[in-house]
Amino acid sequence: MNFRILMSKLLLIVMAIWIINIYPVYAIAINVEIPIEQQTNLSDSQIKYWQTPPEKPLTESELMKLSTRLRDISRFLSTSWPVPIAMNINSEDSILQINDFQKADSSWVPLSAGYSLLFVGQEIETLKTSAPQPLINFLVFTGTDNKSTPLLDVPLSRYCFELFQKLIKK
Amino acid sequence: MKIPAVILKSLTTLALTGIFSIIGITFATAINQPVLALTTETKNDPAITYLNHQLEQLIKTAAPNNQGLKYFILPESSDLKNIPADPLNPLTPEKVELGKLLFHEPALSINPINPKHWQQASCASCHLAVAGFRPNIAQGLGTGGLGWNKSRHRDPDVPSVDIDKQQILVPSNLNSAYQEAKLWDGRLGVAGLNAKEGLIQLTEVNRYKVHGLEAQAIDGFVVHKLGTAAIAQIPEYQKMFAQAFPDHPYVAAEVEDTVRAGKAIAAYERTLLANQAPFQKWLKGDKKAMSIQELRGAKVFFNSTCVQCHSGPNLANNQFSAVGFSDHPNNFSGLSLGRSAITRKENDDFKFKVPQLYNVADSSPHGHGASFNTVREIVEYFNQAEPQNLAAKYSNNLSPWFKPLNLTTEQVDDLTTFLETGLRDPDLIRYVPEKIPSGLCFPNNDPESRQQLNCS
Repeated sequence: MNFRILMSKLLLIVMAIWIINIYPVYAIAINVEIPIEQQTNLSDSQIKYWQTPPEKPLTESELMKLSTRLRDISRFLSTSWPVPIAMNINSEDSILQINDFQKADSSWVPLSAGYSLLFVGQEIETLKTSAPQPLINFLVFTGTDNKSTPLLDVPLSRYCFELFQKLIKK
Repeated sequence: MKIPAVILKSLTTLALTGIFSIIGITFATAINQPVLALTTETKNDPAITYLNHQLEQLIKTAAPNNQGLKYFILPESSDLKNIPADPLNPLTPEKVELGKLLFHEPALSINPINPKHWQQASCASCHLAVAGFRPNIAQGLGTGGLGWNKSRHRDPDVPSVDIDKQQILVPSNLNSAYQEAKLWDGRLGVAGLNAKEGLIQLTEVNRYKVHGLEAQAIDGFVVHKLGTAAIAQIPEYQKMFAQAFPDHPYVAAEVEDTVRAGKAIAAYERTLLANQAPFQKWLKGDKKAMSIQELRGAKVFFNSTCVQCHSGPNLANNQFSAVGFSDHPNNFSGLSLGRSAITRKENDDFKFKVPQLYNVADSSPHGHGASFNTVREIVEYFNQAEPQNLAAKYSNNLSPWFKPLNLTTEQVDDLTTFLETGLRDPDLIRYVPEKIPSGLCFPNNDPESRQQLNCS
């Protein structure tokens, strides 16, 4: 690619990050209608492991490490920076990515660095208090047909484990 | 032999303290009885005299550099020489008077996102005098809001993006002359803590190198889409601008006119002082200004770690602290990092500006994330010191003063009363103009507000 085009694109990205960070209070939430396919076409074998807690959940120190990384992302790229998770599947044709989660008021919102940080904080609290595992509903984006499919009742420990694999232990 | 004056003073203090201690033991039981109102009889009660003395000693201890009670006394609003000011915006009566009108003037709102909301809101739409210069609702609504005070809501007929709204609780303008940096993360202003922050100095909002209040008022014209074109047509404003800014004796629709208008608004905001609160009267010598419960609450306040952060004449220390409050429900990213989003420093994560405390009960909810409905809820929160925000809790960044206060229920009651009524100036309406030159309904000019405010 032409070096000048590359540099101008880079400059645009840097400016966008700068604007997001300078005016976060005034930024406007954009409401996007997410097309949701209620009938999942994901095979159980592809996603089933997401609905069970990991064999070896993250320890408190690993969660703290994850929290620190997310805070770094939030500080330099803003708390609204998207933190999607690609799912670990073997098919080369499929792209499955978790982009959104469901809030208590039933609305679907993008998984931002801010929300991820809150989830990690909640998992540390859960570890410390031995409280029951909170369950989260996610939306999985399927790249092959360009649609999103709900993935329900994912244990918080699983989400944190997969996020750790993505951000810390690549 | 002549006894040195310092020793003589110390001996006198010791003797007096001894006498008061004896009285204190005798009347300790009486002090702990919940008495809500002072009668003529109780005002002369030695127990109250003792309580006054105790409070005086605590306040003197809290004041830096042996400044005594006067450190906490707010100046009169007309005493412009003693109100903290920005050297680039010296205070004059003419400027303050102009700012008073502009602050309430919907005619400045000439560039709303949706033309339907033209000239419908002013600064005072969110900073109401009757609500301690706060909005009295969880989400501040400028243009695109309908209704006044607690009833203000979004215009349901326009898309959300057409509404000027905030993702964090609108802070108070009261006693803001004592705030060096403005907004919860303190991004506005080049003085105080910001003087050491290179990144903040370089930001666009601080291009005029003025203090926080001035920067906010000037930047407010951009953020809230205001302009001076409409008021430039009004002779009264032309005259007032000429008097307030003799070096540039007219107002037009240029950027520099919005800068001058912003400076006038900031000058007015500096005079918004809660100097008629019972606690202020008490500091100035009226020892009967506060009820027994308020006195007891003040004692709890100055005897606890509250005063570590809530110090200074406006009971805020110009610092930023992490105390684990939840974030605003309208924050679309789910979380705010506070100060560190501006300074980029890890040890600023989850820190927000320590707010002033006067007239705090005039508006609700409370906290930067609007996570408390009442003042008592906040007092109980600090008494328990259990963070709402779990990300902040495990950030190792919480304030060292954020520890359980271990107050009894009665002390919680007393402290709440001190905050709600002892620090409440009952006459903030004196800062509102009787009329404004545009003749528009103020502070809001939308159809619902016009009806509520009885505008013809």
